[in-house]
Parts: sequence; C-alpha cells; structure tokens
Amino acid sequence: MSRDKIFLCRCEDVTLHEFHAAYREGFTEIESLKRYTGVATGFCQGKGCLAEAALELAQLRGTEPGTMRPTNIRPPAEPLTFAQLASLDVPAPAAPDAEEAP
Amino acid sequence: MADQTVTIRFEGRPLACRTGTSVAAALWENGIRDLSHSPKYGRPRGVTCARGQCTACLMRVDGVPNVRVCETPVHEGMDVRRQDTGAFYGAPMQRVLAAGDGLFPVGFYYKWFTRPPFVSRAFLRGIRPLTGIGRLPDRSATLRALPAATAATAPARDLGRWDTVVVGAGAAGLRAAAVAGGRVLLLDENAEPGGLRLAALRELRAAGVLERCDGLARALATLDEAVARAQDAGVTLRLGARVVAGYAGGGLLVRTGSELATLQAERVVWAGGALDAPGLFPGNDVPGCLGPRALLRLLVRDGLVVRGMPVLVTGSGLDLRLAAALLTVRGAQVSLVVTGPEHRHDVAAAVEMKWPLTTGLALASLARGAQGRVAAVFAPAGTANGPGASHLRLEADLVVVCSRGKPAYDVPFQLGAELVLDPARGGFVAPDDALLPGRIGFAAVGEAGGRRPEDVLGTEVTP
Repeated sequence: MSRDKIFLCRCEDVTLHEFHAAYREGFTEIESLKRYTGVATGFCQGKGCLAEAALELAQLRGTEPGTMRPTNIRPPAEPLTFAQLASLDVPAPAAPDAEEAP
Repeated sequence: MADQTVTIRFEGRPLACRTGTSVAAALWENGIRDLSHSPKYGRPRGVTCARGQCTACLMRVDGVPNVRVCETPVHEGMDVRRQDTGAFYGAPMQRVLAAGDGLFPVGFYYKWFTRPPFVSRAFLRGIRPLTGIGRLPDRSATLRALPAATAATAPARDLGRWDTVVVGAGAAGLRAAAVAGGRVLLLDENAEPGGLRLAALRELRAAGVLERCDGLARALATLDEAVARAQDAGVTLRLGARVVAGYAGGGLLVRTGSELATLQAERVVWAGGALDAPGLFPGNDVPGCLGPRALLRLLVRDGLVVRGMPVLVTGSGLDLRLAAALLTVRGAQVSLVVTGPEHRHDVAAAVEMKWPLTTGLALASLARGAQGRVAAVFAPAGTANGPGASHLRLEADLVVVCSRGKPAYDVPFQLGAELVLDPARGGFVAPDDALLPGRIGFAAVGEAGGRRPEDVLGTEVTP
C-alpha cells in the first residue's frame, strides 16, 4: 500500500488530501474550493482537474452529481500571445462616458 | 524518418534529435524524462498530455519561458532549458515554509511587494524561478521574436460565416458533418481527418496485425467510411486548426500554427473528443505515466522511438488494444494488465498477440522505479488499498493507463452551453441538442457528447 500523494491538480500541486482538508474546514462549494485550494486556477485552467474535483465534491457532500456546475471557463482555452490577440480585428469598446454624453 | 538529425542544446549539452519531432519526444529519446518540477512539492514532471494543455512540459526555449515543448518542433541549434529550481523544494522546504506561515497573516496582500518598483523587480526575480514560471524572456529573445510578432499582428483571417461548424474530425465529427446539410466547415487540429486513431489503425493494417485484435478492424472500417461520407457530402475541411475560444453568439477563434482566424457559426457541433484521465491514485503524477491519447500523439505525430522499450499498458477497451498493438508494431516490449469492463476482447487480443497478460487486478499506485522507470503496483480488484492483499509490482519505461477519458467541455461552456456532471462519463457533458445565446444551434457528439451523431442531427436537417 502506497502512502504517496494523490494529485488532484498537477498545475497547482493540489493533493486529494488537501482538497478533503479544505472541505472539512468549511469550503463546501466548488467556487470557494477553487479559490482556497487553487484547483482549476493553473496553467491548464481546469482541464486536468475540474471534472475530478467536482466528482469528488459531489461524493463528499453526498449530493446528486447532476446538480454540480463547472466554474467559469473564460476564453481563450489555451494561452495565446499578445501579438496573436492583437491580430484580431475587434472593434474598440466605446468609452464609458461617451455613451452618457449627449 | 530516423535518418535526418538536428542538434539541439539541453542545459548547454548538445543532443542529436530526429528532424520533425517535438522537443519533448526528442528529450525522451535522449533519456531525459523530467521536463519540469511541480510548483509546491518540487516533484518531477514529464510529458503528460502531449497537446500543450497542461503544465508539465513548460520549458525555456531560445530564451523564452513557458514554451509548451510537447508541441514545439525541434530546430537546429535550439536552446532548451528547465525553468524552475525544483531541487529547492521537497519536504525540508515545506517545513521552512510552514514555519514562516505567521509572516503571512489573514489579509496578507501579495501586492505589498509591488512598491517601490525596485523591490518589485527584486521580488519577481526571486519568486519567478521558485514558482516554476521562469525568468522573463532574454532581451535578445525579445528582439528575435519581434519580426514574428509583427507578422502575427497582420489582421487575423476571417473564415466567414457557416451554417454548421463541426469541431473535431474523428468518427463522430465526420459523420455529423456528412449529415448536417448546408455550408459545413469541419475543423480538426491533426494533420489528417480521422485523427491519430485512423493513422494508427492504418499502420496496424499495413503491419498485418489489425485482424488479430478484437474491434480494431471494425474501428478502421468505421473511420474510413466516415471520412468517405464527409468527402461525398462536400464538407469543407480545415486541418491543423484548433479551436482555441468560443464566444456567445457563435463566434469561434481558430489557431493554425501561430496564426489566428475568426469565423461565425449558425450552429456548432462539438466533436472535441475526450481528454485523458488516468485517475486518482498515489503517484499519479510520475513522469512516464500517460493516457492513450497522449501516447498516440507521441507515436504517430512525433514518431517517438520505442524499440526495445518495456511498456506496461493497463486499463481496458479499444484504446488499450490500439495502444498495445501500435507499441508492438513499433518494437516495444508490451505487457498488459487488464483491469476493466471490456475484459473479454482485451484478453482475446492479448492471447492472439502473445502479450504477457495479468487480469483480476486494479492499479493501486505508481512510483519512480530504478533508472527513472515507472514502478506500478497492482492489487486484487476491489481491495486496492486493503491490508494484507497480495500485490503485483511491475516496472516499465512507460505506463499507459487506458480509461475512457473525460469529455472535452471548455469551448461548449464558452459558447454558453449548460454542462452537466455525469459520473458515468467521467466529467462534465455538453448537451446533445440545445439552443445557445444568440440563437446558435448546438450539439455535442461522440466522446464529447451523448447520442450518436445521426440520432442527433439526421432528423432535423434536410440535406
């Protein structure tokens, strides 16, 4: 029997043990667990761990997994350089006070 | 393909590499498995996803930090370095950090270090290597990158407006594209439609082993037929194109090489497949532990040389048989520990292919073995962590853990699809029929979704 660490999130080095400890400390929502443990906040933005974390949490809480929602996944889905983003032809947003001015 | 070589420098040391392969595969063939160290515990990490989607392969290449070397091809004179100070970490450092906890009370704010500027600079110089995100780019690297950067700032291509955009040209995506009707664009990040599985299956047919593994001949026929049907239907195909963002209203951002393109979809069919999910067990981060999808990328895309290498393939299913057969054709010494539900087919293939086979066990843990190998421990199924169980310990250069994976879900979420967690599917599943914000039609199919593409798409569209 191995006593080695079980990694839930490899980007931020969050172990299953740490995730359980955080749950016991009262962080019982995926959103607060994300902020407290760092799960789903790393380079991969949750591709490696979010599903596993949500399944684990559903089990800890004893709730129906179907009620679990993922944390926010913002574009882009992988890192892009500023040069790449600058190549996009996106209309500049209107200045906030320009709309209010007559 | 092994004839031509280029020379790269790793930590200043020259290494001969095959042309056209990735840095990660080249390093592996030169005996370098540890590409980085993890940020908190300083654990060695090796190539894991082989798709530029995880942290394990971030290295400093030609003076630029955070390069995903699993997707970066080698070139002559390339300078590759590790970017963290992994040896600094480990249990002793954890104790020092724990002792210093009192210095960081509740309410501690990291931006205290941003003023005055010289403190900030000194702090960043120290903290960046420690956290593994590397030093800032060399000045010379920044200057070298300038022409490329200005080239990339030429306006992104606009690929226009499409009735249906299918993301992913695996079996499900190809079939969906064939029946979708209207102007259909099919996008895939690989070099050929049918993906890495089709390329692998064709190699097995050429080697004459296809018929010896249950289900593989049928998988090849299915994929070949799906490719033909998509071609007959006049589907526009773009290869080497990865969808890197979706926006509410059906806008998609597509990356080919370093260039971006935009397009607008009236309907999105998400056939993005599944991500490797080896699972939660002790030592699940050991370098050399791979999923079947990552293995296919390394073997098919990079031509990773595995001749004579002991490889342990475990799990169950079609991907297990495909991985084991391709490894065998490439000359690896394959052994099998079958742990899953498709037991019968796997055993039949193992007998036919003469793979050393063990069954009735479950993977209990992985650890680093001798000479950087992976040591896998198996326990009788159902008692993985029970006391007194008799264990099997095997060592191999690679351990391929074949699970069904978990559905890819990032772009569907960005488009506004509502995801549902499904334990049977191993993760969040996008809907197979939905109307998204901006009246954009949406369906997830194949490994990424629920029903067969014909069931989802065939009825509602008149071709």
